[in-house]
Amino acid sequence: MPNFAENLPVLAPLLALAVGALGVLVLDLVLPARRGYGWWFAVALAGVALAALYTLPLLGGNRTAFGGALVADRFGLFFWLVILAAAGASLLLSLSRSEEDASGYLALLLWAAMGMAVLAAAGNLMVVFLGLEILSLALYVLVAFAPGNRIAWEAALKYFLLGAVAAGFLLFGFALIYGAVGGVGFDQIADYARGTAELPRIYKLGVGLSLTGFAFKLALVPFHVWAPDAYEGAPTPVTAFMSVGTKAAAFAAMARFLVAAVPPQAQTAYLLPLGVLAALSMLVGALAAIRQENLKRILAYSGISHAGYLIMALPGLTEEGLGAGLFYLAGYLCMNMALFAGMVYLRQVGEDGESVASYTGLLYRRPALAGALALALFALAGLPPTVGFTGKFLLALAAIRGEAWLLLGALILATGVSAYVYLRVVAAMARQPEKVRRSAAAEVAAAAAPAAGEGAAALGLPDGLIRGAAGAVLVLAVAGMLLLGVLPGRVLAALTGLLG
Amino acid sequence: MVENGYLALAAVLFALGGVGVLLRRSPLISLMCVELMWNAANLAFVTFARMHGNMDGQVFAFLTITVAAAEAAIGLALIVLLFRRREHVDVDDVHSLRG
Repeated sequence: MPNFAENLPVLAPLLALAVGALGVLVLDLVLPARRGYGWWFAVALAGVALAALYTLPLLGGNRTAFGGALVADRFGLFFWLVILAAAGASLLLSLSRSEEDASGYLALLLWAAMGMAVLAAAGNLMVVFLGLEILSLALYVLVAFAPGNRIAWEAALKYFLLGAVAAGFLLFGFALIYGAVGGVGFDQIADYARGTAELPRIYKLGVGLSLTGFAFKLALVPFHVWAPDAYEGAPTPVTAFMSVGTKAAAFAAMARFLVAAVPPQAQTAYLLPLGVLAALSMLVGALAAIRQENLKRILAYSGISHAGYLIMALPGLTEEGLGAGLFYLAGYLCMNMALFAGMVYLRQVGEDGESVASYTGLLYRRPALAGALALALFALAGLPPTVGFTGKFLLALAAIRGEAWLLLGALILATGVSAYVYLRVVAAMARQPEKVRRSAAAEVAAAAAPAAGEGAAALGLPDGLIRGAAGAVLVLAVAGMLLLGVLPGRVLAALTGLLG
Repeated sequence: MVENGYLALAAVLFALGGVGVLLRRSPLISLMCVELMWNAANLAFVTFARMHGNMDGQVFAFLTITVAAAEAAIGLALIVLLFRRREHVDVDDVHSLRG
């Protein structure tokens, strides 16, 4: 029986998140909301920071805990850092909340982060399922976390029902795989897939059903219908968190699952269906985004395309390919966080920030903010010198090496179409607002401002702090985008090294 | 072999649950169908555990039952939140959002 203390270093980051969540709830009990409000956020941020501090020393080597149930190899730890960065940014953007139930909101956010971390480090099918459910259950509630907002509730119910069905597929697939293999560990599955000449039909069916479940979490077409609604309905910081975190965690678990479950001699046969889904996702995501007028929905469809781009890292299941995937995820984190931080900032200063029309003339009103947002949009479109271009270039290289021509063609087409979508927003920012429009926008702003003011008067943090936090997230994200875009070589070498 | 019968039953239950989610309009019935799908997987796990003679499948089934309880609690809470002020529940009424 292994000693519990041996497993503690791997468990520590997860415990830090869980204890942070409980700490917020306990504070809510012992301090009146009016006095404790700022402390809730401080404790939640401390939990995330502590988790990151515990993660860093693990980077030295690959270790496992609990008999291989948790695998804290450097591949998984990279995802932990991405997830923690997304959680921290999302917490900073959440400072603008001013409702009494913010303690529950913060606790759920930390638990969702913990679920993502568990999923990214899963070493057997049971832990995959557990991590997936911890993150999903927290997110179903978080999407609904908008008092009196019927749209958010409906989105949450839709997300919940489809998510539960997807979990059913995943579970039945796992059962069939267990039936064929006789164990649930990834190492057992890998031995079985490599040691058996003719794999039985239930095994193949099981892998197929499981991939359906993963495809849902990544929002690949045709399992994407929940994404635009959930993204639009959820509070903006939650949308930011789930767009990056869920994608990262599900991608990590799926990559681990595929590396174990796909026999090398039959790689093409297993990965082709996934490639078709990925190609469809890129194209459908790009085309559907054209008609959207809400920036959150545009980002939802862009997320669907980007899930497709990420799959390009998988053909061949090589280290270079997966390294390109990791790089793209890090870039995607920066681009998305920049845009969502911009939306939160605009909302804080009394602008709408969600409809594309509300961005008209932003370049003249707030040049610095508009410049940063334009850079993020250029990166999403894949223009140099940002990380979007470098990342797509590396993914294209991975696809060429894996001879995935279908994916490469879809990437080129989708990039062309989606450039229009993103540049349309940039064009709106650069357009000189007409006199009439400006007065209409001013009215909207005037109407929105007192509403925001009332909420802040009762509960909440100082306005300057909220704006400062959103601004800091924006600056960090832009810096990350440029750094990854201009100096990709060093980062990529480090990431590929992580896999060795 | 008697195990094959259980596996066939699991497959039938899973299919029934899947069809039910697609066809029934009430979110409550959808939730029950989802539970049917999950429990079909449990039955398959337990059957396979018996075939292989190890405990992994039984532990997995326990885990799933626990998670399913949490899932049902959240699902029911969402349904109550959404339909509190209405006399009946129907997923076709969930249409404030565009597809």
